[in-house]
Amino acid sequence: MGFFDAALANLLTPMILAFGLGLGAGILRSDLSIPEAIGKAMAVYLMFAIGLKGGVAVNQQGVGVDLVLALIVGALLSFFLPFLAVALIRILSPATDVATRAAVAAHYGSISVVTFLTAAEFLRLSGVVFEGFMVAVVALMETPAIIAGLWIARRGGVGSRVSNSSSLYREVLLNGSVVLLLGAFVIGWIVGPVGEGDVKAFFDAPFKGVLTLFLLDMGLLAASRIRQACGIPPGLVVYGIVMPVLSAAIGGVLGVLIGLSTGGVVLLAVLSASASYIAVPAAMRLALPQANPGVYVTLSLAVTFPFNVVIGIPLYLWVAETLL
Amino acid sequence: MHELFRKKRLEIIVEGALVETVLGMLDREGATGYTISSASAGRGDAGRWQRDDITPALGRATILVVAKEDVARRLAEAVYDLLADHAAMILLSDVEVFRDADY
Repeated sequence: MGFFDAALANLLTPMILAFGLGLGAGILRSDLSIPEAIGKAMAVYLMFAIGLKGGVAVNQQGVGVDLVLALIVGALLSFFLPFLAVALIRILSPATDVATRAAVAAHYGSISVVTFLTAAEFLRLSGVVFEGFMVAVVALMETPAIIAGLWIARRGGVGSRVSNSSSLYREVLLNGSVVLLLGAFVIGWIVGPVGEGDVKAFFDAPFKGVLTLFLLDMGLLAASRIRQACGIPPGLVVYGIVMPVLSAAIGGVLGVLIGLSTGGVVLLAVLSASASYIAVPAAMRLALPQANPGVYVTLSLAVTFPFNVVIGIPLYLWVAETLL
Repeated sequence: MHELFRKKRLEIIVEGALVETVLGMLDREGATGYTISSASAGRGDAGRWQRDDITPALGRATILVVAKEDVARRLAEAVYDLLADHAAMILLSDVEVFRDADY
């Protein structure tokens, strides 16, 4: 499949069309909205479902060196990608202040669960298999980037007195999405396919529909940020596109080196390319208040997230299928 | 007519991510009670924010404390020191209450 075919196949899924609908409705200032509580419930459902599925897969396949290697590489990527991010921001937007630079870097080392969910669903639709344990890699990649970002900020002489408090560690280590993903993964691992059978009807068939509605909500949220993107220096907007492609290339190469399947390589590339907009903003508001959330959340949500779900995911799959 | 008693009203408008930290500080400094409410939307140095943003951490909450003047001033000073680097509003004003023993 050529890149344009892959991109078109991705674009014409209900998920991506729903994202486009949300984006368009938001930009045109329609009063369409998804109630906050329903958005949260859908997020819980999706994370539990994907965690459970991953755990069941590990129960069937067993734990091997490949799982351990993927976890190590995921953690290393999350920790070291922020250093690449800082270097790239220095080149593309030298006027960015130290705190904002460090905060943006932390976002790009960490990951977006929704981008991962969309990529995993796109792979399933394309008939590309991947390792179930990649869900555990998602959970592990959330936090090392935050530590790297705060270290970069401290070296630049910025931080907050709140950053030593227990709330930061709680935010970093026990944030809801990490607990939910890992928890559901462990549950799936324990119960295996037999136990999964009891809840499969609830977590399997409606998954795509819920993801479609969730992406509609994400489109609306991204649209509300796109207006703010107009105030961001053009160099940073370019960074929001270049950084994911570079990170995906590094993640993809490392995925190949540790022997992941084509689907696994694509998912590691997607995780490397995606940027956080939930766990990391919360940690940055606590520990790095000098950084501008109008820049880091907007870049992550209104530039990199749409780029990844619309163009990035089919691009990474196309490159992986062409080269492997 | 019931007698009214003069107290201080301390309002802290703070980012969602910091609410627990501020409450911990209020407990340590001897606040006997507080009320938290979620703010809907607003704009400040850190740009526009709203309650249903991508994460509640970016929204704002108001923490309301009513206390004797010395206690309220101590709490306000402690919160001010804690939030020196953060986007926050700390307001101290006079109020009258019916139940003197509650504060």
